[in-house]
Order: sequence, then structure tokens, then C-alpha cells
Amino acid sequence: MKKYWKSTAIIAVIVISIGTFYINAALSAPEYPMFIIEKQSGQDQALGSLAVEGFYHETASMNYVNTNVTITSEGSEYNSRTFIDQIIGQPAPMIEDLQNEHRYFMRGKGLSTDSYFESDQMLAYAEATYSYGSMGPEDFTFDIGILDKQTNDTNAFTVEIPESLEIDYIYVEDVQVVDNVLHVITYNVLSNNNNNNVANYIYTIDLTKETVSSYEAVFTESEQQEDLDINTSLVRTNPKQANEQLLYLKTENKEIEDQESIIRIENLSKELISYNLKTKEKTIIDLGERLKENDISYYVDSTVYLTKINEQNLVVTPYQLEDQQFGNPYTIELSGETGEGHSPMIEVHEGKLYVTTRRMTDKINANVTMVDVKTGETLYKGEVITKEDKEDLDEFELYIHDISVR
Amino acid sequence: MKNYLKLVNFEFNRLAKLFAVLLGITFLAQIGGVIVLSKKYLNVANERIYEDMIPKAQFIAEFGQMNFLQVARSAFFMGPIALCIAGVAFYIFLIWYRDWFGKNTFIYRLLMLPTTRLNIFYAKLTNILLLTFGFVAFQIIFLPIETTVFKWMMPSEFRNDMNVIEILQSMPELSIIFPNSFLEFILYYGAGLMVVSVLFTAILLERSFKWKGIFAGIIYSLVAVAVLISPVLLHEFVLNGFFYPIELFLLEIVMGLIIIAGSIWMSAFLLKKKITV
Repeated sequence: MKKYWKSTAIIAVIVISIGTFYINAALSAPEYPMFIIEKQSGQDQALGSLAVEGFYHETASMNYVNTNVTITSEGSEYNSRTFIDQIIGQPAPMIEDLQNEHRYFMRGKGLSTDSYFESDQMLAYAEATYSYGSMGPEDFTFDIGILDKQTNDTNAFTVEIPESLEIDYIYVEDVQVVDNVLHVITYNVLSNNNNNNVANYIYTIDLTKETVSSYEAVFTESEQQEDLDINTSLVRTNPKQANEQLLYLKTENKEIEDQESIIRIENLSKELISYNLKTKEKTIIDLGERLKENDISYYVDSTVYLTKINEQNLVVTPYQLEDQQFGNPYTIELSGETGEGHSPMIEVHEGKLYVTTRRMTDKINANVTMVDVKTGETLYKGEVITKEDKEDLDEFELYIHDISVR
Repeated sequence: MKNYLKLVNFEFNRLAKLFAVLLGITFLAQIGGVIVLSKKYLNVANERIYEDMIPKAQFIAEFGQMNFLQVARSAFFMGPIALCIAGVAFYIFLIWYRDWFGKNTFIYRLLMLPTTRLNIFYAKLTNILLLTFGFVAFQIIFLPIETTVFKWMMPSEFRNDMNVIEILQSMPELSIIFPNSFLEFILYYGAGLMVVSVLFTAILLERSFKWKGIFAGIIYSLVAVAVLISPVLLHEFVLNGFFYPIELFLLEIVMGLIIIAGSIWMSAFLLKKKITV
């Protein structure tokens, strides 16, 4: 045995040293507080499967990495940054659900929720792809995928995007299927003859012929005036929502330089315009002065929700597109910080409006409110709290960036 | 099995000297670094505080406390690590060629041993692993010794203490040698084992066919690389992103295992049939 002492010793050193190191590393993994949504009033099960997502960050620590945390009424779950988790990646909850349900169809599909349209009958997908040429991106095409949920048939094809030579950049903002016609709603950056334009396009795709049957630039803005910024943006909706009417918000902003050469942006005008996918008609929606004071927060079931912060309250004004009428405004009481840059998160799901404040620290709590979207009656009121005593915790900040109801 | 262990022990005794020397250099240079760099900091501190009459608190506010990372990022610390890496890389070749070119063609006796010749291959591969893990293990042992010396050298108000895990996790440049989790440890060093087995096969090809063998060895290595990246290429260019990331990851592990198995099979064949002395 004496002959073997050297190799025996080295093996022992290796096993003990590396073993202890990894056991210690596992034991000293950072510990995060447990968050939970606690009920203050309302029914017990009312909140359902609401999940609040935020970035957790310890203010005093040298580590600037934000850790993503998902908080529900049952507790919180941190996205661990383990090796396997980094490989799998973190697709949005909706994409994750789709990948679990339609594992084969979702292969090779992008991770942007805007690219999907889902109804009871079908799942449609459209994404713009390109190849890198010598002059930058070229050969723009749409990757289209249609899944018939009843028969499980898939139809996948690619179509060339018309006038692809002029396109510098294209982003699919929404996909809609109306009466079995697929519409791809995009935001394009175009350049021709050194003129840069931004435009909102709608491409209509014929699913049987697998071609682009028509396309139209709904809005085009050329970038000419230096201090004037005209921007038309699509009012985002839930990707699972079918909308015959699209809503665009056109804003005109002017850069104003004051004496101390601080540039501030003044809003000159706002206009809400609807576009009907069936009739291809544009209509200006007259909201009067209300549009100027309010933000367009949500658009669901042909109702637009205008919101504004009034001291500690959120004032919600519904507007029905069909009968062109304002509903009764209602207020939702908020606590915590509602200052600038911290406008609350709003989500509408199955007739309920969910509101959460944006920021939580070791001193202020974030709150969660659920109201009936039609009447404004408060159905649930809760608060995001930590299970641990706040005095035992280090200074932290939780920035809420998403809420979702599955 | 017994023959394999005997061979491992035998090979290890042959490299023990080199191992001990490199470990000694590492330890002395790193301890030296701790002493030199903390002395340097303290000299500056003395100068500023006693000659320029700056209050201690202000000096610390301006200069910052010293932490062990300043030692760990210096050439005193990283230099020996680089030397050990170079040592392992060099020894991958030396472990075979010394048997041919050393005194009295030792490989002749090795090949004549009454055991399967593949055991020679396994024993040499194991020794490369022992050498590498030995360095890693001793570095983990050296670190707390070095931080203790650092604490002796530096008055507590001037230093910011860190433990071994904090030090290693704050140095991404070392994360390949000291991966953050045990799974990564297995994967990284598994990949290293694969590379060594391919290199061993290439060396045996050279030993079997001399000049032509160098060419064959290069081809073999290129084939191994092609096999390894084939799933990624297929995924990107042929299948349009067909695989989910986790599937691609598992496929890569399978490919790595295939390459190791292929190398062992090839080496066994060469050692049995083609090797020349």
C-alpha cells in the first residue's frame, strides 16, 4: 500500500477540496425574501391566477443584477440563474403555455407574443425574417404558420414581403385573423432615395394561395422636421384578443429648448384613429379634451380605457367604440408611489380590470386592486408584502414590469 | 482493473515532481503577491497619512479599501495559473512522447505488459485529469491561506474581507476553471476530457503512421469538431430552428459522448494493431 500513497493522497485532496467548495457554494446561495399578495378586502378566491412579475434588486449590494420574480397570492418564485435555466431561457408565460400545448407547432417560432393570434379554432403566427447581405439586412420574408386546433393540421409557408428592397427594419406588431383572412400589422422603417420614413403597414395574406394578396401603408411619416416628432403607434392589445378594429394613436411632439438648454418635449396634439380590417376604413375618434389629459391604457372588446392619475387615485374612463360614448368614470385608490415614471400596470381580463402600483421597497408596499371593468366596483384589494419581517431585510427595490392573468 | 490502477499510480509517480514544482511556484508567487501588493498599498497609505497629513478616513474614502480581488487580478496570482494551464497542455503531449524519446524506449516495456493495451491510454488520460483537478483542488486550498496572510498584513480598517466563494464568483475570467455550479464543473471538464481524448488519438495516429499520421491526426480532429457542431449547423441552416434549446443541449452532450467513445475505440485499434516502436 505504501507504493500508492502519492496517488491516493492526491485523489483524497481532490475529492475533499472540490467537494467542500461546491457544497459551500450551494449553501451560500443568495437568499431572497418571499413575496406574497395578501388580501385586504374582497373575496378569497377572487384574484384567481393573477401573477405579478418584477425585478428584485438589493439596493445596497454591489451586485447590480436584477432578479426576476413572479408573485402570486400563493407566494413568489425567483428565476434562478442556474445553468440549465439559462439554457432553457425565459419565454413569456403565454409562449411557455403555447410551447407546452403545441410543442411541435411551436418549434422554430419566435418568442414575441405580438407575433401570435389565438382563438378557439386556430393559432396563427407571423414573423418577419431576413438574411444579412452586403448592404445590411435583405430578402425580407414573412414566416407564416397556421394551426387548426380542431383537426391539428398545420399550414406553414414563407412569403416574400413586397417592396422588400426599401425596407430597413420591420417589426410585426400584431397578427389578426378576421373572417379567415390573415392580417399582419407591422411597423416598418423604410429608406428610398435617402429619405427615411417610418410607416405602419398592414399586409393581408391569402392562406390558400400563400401570397400577399394586398398591402397598405396605413400611416407614413417622413422624418423631415428636426424638432418635430410625429409618431403613430398601434394601441397594443392582448395577443389572444381578436380585433376587427385596430387603434392607432398619433402624437405630435415638439422639442423645446429653454434658456438653460434643457430639452423638454411638449405634446402638440394627440389623435386616436381606428382602422377597420374588413372595410379598410380609417376613422378619427373624437374624444375631445379627454384624450389630451388621459393615457390610452387598454383596448379590449371594442372599449378603450382612458386613465389618468389624480393624486392618489387612478381615474378610469371607458369609451365604447361602437356607440361612440363615454361610460361612467370611476376611481381606483392607489397607495405607495404614483409619481412620474411609476404609472401603474393595468390589465383587463374577462371583465375585470387589474391594477398594480409599480414600485415596492422595504419602506413602501405595492398594492393590487381588481375592479369590475364595467361598473368600477372594487372586487378585491390586496397588497404585495414580504413574508419575512421587513426590518430583517436589506434595503431592496422591487420594480413591477408585468402583470398577467392566465 | 488492478492493472489499470497500477498503471495510474505508476504514471502519477512519474509526473509527481513536475506537479510539486508547479504547485510550489504557484503558492510562493501568490503569497508573494499578497505580501508585495499589500505592502505597496500600506506604503502609499503611510505616505499620505503621515507625510501629507491626510486623515485616515479621508484616505480610505479617496483610495478605497483594499480587497483580495486586487491581488487576485494581478500577475502574481494569474501568472502561475497560466503557467499551470500551459504545463497541463504541454504534458498532454509529453506523457506519450517521453515514452518514445526518453532513455531506453520505455513504451516498449509498457506495450509488453500482460494487460490490455487500452489500459495505457486510460491511465494516461486519468493522469491528465489528476494533474488538472490537482491544481484546481490545491488552488482552492491555497486561497483561504492567502486570505489569512492578507488579513495579517492589512489592518482591518484598510481591507474589505471576502471569502473564497465570493472571490471566485467575482472573477468571471476564472469561471471556466472554477465553474459556479457542480453541473457546469462536470460539463466543462467533460468537454476538456473530450478534447484530450481527441488529442491522444491524434498523437497515436502520428506514432502509428509517422508523417502521414500527422495529417491523419489533423483530419481526425477536424472530423471530431464537425461531429460536435453538426447539431447546431443542422438546427440553424437546415431545420430552421427545429430544436428547443434544451434538446439542442442534450444533443450536444450525446455528440460529446460519441466523440469520446470514438476516440477510445480508435485508440484501442491503433494501440493493438498499428503502433510502432
